[in-house]
Amino acid sequence: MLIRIDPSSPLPIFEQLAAQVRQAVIAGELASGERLPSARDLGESLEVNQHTVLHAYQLLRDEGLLELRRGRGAVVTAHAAEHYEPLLAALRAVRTEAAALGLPLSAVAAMLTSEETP
Amino acid sequence: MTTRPPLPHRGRAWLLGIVVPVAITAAAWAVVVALLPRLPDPVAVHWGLTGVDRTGTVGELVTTSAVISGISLVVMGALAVLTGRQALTRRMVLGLAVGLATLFAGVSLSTVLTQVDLPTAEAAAPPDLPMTLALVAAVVLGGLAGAAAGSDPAQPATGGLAPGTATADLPEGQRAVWVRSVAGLGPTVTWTLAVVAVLLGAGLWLLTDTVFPVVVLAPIAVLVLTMTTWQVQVDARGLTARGTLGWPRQHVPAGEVERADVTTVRPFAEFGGWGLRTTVSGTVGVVVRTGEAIAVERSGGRRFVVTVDDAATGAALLNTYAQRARVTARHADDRGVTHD
Repeated sequence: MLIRIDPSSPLPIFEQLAAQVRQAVIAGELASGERLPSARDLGESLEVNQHTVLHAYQLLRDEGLLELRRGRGAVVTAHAAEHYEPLLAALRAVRTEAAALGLPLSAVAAMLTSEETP
Repeated sequence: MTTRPPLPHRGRAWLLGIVVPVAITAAAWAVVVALLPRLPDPVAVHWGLTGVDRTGTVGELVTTSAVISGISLVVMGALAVLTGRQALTRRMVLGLAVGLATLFAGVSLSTVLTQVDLPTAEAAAPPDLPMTLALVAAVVLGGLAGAAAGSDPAQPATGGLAPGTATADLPEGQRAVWVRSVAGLGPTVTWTLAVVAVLLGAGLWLLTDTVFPVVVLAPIAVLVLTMTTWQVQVDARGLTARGTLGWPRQHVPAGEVERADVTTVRPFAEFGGWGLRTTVSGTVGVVVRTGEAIAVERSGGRRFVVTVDDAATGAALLNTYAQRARVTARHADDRGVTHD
């Protein structure tokens, strides 16, 4: 699993971390039951505060993707990737519809994050 | 082949590889020779489950252990002086040199001590206790010698990365880490082996009524099991491979990487086995399965190999950080700052 962070990105670092761990699970690079590096280790590796890493891990725990256990660190939940199957199917449908309308994905992303979209 | 720099820590290699083992062996044999007149005739030369099962001459008792001691001194002494480019090799060879000398000295002493001043050989008790003490002493002294063998001196790589070396697409200012686990045996196989080892140990203990095999085999079993799963990590500090419990740990600093490449490893053919291995030519390997691996050419003619999936990504990131470490080192030079 390759995790990169860009300090100059407007995206907070904990979100950058969480997005890449999530992506690795969905892509099958991280298997169920696999242990992630401890927050301290990963923090030292990336030269970021370990609480930033913990913040990302907690976000993923709340999504049901990781289990955090004292002393054992972060472990990928069983069948974690399957939780994302419905969302991935929906995303594929969105891409198809957007292509049919000739809508760029950046416009779709703006619609997704905008509060007003019904 | 380019000429390689001299081997480091030669003083310690001579001391711990030759002087100390010879001293231990000589001291033990001085005592053995002094005690020979007080042995029964014939002497006990072998013990079975029910006590002494073979007797023989004094010559028979001491010749075998003398020959083994001598061979061990010569072989380990030669290895100590001729090898040891990397810390792991040095620690293993010097630890074994002192440990084996202690063990063989202890065995020779044990078989003699247990029958001093006895009227007949048949009265000699099996030398279990002194043998166990000899083994413990061998492990402790061997461990101390290994610890005293000395880590590698810092040897920053000089010159640029070789042209054509694959690097990661990591723009200046961005940071990255690559983490990957590699397992030689699956968890099921590992636990099955652990259970079989425990049952085997308990069975031996009950059948033979001696703890000796268990004392010897238990640490070896634990050591083997910690060597089957490793976590490999590449970051700004370099490449680190850690065993199951975070130990043993092998680290290659980014600043000492000449180049990292993807290679294919056949552990048995190239390293003579699996786990944390060294070769006579000085390569250190963490090799738990056949197949894809990262091969790192280190400064000072050293080489490190670790079997891991997706080796291309890990090797490319390591090359990138090797390049960045040189740029940092050059900037330090430009400012007149010494770096160590």
